[in-house]
Amino acid sequence: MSSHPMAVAVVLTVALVLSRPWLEARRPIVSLVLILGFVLGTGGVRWLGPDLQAGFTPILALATGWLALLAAEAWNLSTLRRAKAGRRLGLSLLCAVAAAVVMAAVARWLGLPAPWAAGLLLAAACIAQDPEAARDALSRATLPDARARLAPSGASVSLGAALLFSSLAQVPAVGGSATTFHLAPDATSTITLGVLLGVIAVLMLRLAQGSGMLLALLAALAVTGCGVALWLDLSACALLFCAGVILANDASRRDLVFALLRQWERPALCAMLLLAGASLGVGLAPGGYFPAICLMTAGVLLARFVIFGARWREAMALPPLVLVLTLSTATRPEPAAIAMALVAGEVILLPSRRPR
Amino acid sequence: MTETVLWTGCIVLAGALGAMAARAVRLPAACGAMAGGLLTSVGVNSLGLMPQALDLLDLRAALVAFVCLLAGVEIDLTRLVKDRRSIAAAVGAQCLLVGGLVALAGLMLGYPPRISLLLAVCLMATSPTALMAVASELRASGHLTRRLLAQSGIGLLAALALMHFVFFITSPQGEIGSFLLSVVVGAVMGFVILVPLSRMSQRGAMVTGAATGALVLALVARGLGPRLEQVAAMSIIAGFIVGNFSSNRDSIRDALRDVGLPCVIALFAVAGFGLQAGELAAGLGSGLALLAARAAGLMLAGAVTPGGRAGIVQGLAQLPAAGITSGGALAAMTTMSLVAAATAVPALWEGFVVAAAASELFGMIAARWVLARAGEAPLAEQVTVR
Repeated sequence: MSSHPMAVAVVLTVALVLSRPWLEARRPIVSLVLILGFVLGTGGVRWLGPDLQAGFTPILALATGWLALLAAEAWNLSTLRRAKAGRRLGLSLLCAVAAAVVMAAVARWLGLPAPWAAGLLLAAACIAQDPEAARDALSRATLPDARARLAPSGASVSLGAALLFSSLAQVPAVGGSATTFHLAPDATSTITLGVLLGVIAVLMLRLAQGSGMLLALLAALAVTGCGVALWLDLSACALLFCAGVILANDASRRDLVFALLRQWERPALCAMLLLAGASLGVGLAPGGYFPAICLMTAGVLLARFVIFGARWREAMALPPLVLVLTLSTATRPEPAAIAMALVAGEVILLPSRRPR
Repeated sequence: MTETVLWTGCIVLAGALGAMAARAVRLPAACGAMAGGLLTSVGVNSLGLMPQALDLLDLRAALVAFVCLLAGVEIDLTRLVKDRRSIAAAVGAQCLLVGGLVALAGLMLGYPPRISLLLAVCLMATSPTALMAVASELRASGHLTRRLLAQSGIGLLAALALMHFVFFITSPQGEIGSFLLSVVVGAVMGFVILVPLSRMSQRGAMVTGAATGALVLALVARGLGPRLEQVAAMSIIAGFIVGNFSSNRDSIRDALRDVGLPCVIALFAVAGFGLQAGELAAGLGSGLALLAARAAGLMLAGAVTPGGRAGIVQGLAQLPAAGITSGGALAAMTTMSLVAAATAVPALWEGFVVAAAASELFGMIAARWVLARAGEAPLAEQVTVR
């Protein structure tokens, strides 16, 4: 961070200056951040080049972790029962497994390395939807109120499943010779530590008085959890999501806690998207992945229509661009990169009327 | 960087726990946060776990920027104009009396004249971050709060200008220029932040805009050099512009107040962690003497200022009792960080904001009492989420 402070300051100032006309054009501010990141990043003028991005990795992990913590809100047992999210989750997983198999087969056919791990990552990408994007899309769709209310919960469920799924696989850079595929140890450690952090958080939050103090504790716990995950080379996103699930099932202060977390949702989203945009272009459709991307795009959209019976807006919540972004960022072995690419694509392609 | 994230989490967690403990005994949360940070530092040092490459300067700069931005937003121009004479008199009296007494104390303690002057300049300012800590914790936003914040903000800017002047006359290397640059950058950034914030209606978006602006200020100051006091100056000016020239300034103030306390806790926890307990203990006597001189100067300033006499003198009169029963030793130790920094002048820059904020522990206790007496802040905080 300290190597090019002025470059980052200029980038952020430009974002602030441009945000007003962007808002007046009724476009979501997060899409401006993403595009700005892309223009100034590796794919553009390279002010935010790879050397600077490396220094921002912990911030990226923290931002995605914060969003994952929020996404866990819907993983409340009573909400899940009410939303019939279990059925949706099952279908999502089914779709993901099918996508993974097809992806792996295509990758093998193309002679690419690490097909199974890449397939897993793609599967994780396929099942995820951004809850906020879903909420926004459905607000304009002619859906019954009840379904419109429940859809974001379903989206949160799928995002959570995606985070866990993606934490199962660690892939080396595409084109690398080695194929690492850690399944049980990393996932077990991540889930165990996440649950432990969640339990500690529940106990501590019961002692805290006042919303400011609660938010301070939550932030401290999130940063600590993220630091532990980075230190142990685990997925910060998945770890914080597990902690969030515990928080979501603690009835005493659930609503207050998630309302406080939501106060910093937008800064986290903006930080994530700026870095996501800056990292794009490094390995866009590397090594002949493009045919696979096209194939998978069609497959995923079809699956959404057929399996979920989705309307076009819901189906398009995972548009083709997302897959391009996903594959681009999946060349870096970070589940966080997948999540950020997902949100990035959805944000760009969704029309306006997002909350400002 | 990974290590920094982990340690930051631990420090802020310790600070939050300390703040909870302080609340339990009815002390300001920032006192507990700083004690938590200090205890973490002592514990880590005694166990030999202190990482070599731990650099919290960027984090500290960002937190100082955000908290000072919040303090600047709270300064009301209308009141400032209305009370300009009394505020100017209070700031002038405080600078003169505190500066004079501390400089005298420094000379009597055997410090060289230049160091004594710098110590005087550092201690003459009231820390807006400390007052912001109190106001944010108590959700106080009345007339007295804004007056105190305006007074402390202007006092800090005056102290910074004087500090640059002292550096200029002792080693003329363009220090005045850097202060003016801070003022200009702060004003420009204020308008840059103001433009989008005026168009926003959601609290989350406002917080994002303000946080981005604070980050830019911290980065600019970092680019100009490792000087935390420039961050503070720029951020107060930027916050002042945002808080007074925006069409929806009340909404902005409300939104930022909600996120003030966690930032204050994090700032004070990190500041506490930065204190070197060993060095502080070695100079405890000098620290207490300097602090006593400062307290005497503040009380005299309150007594001779017509506008602020009633509240401020009452509050400051509580200092001895409050100091004995609460954070007196800690405050003295904190002041000593300034003394320790002053012995190696380049480190003074870094130590200034931390020490200026930290040495306000007495003042914070007084301010809390004064605000409660003025009926601007109920001591029983309400749990509200908007």
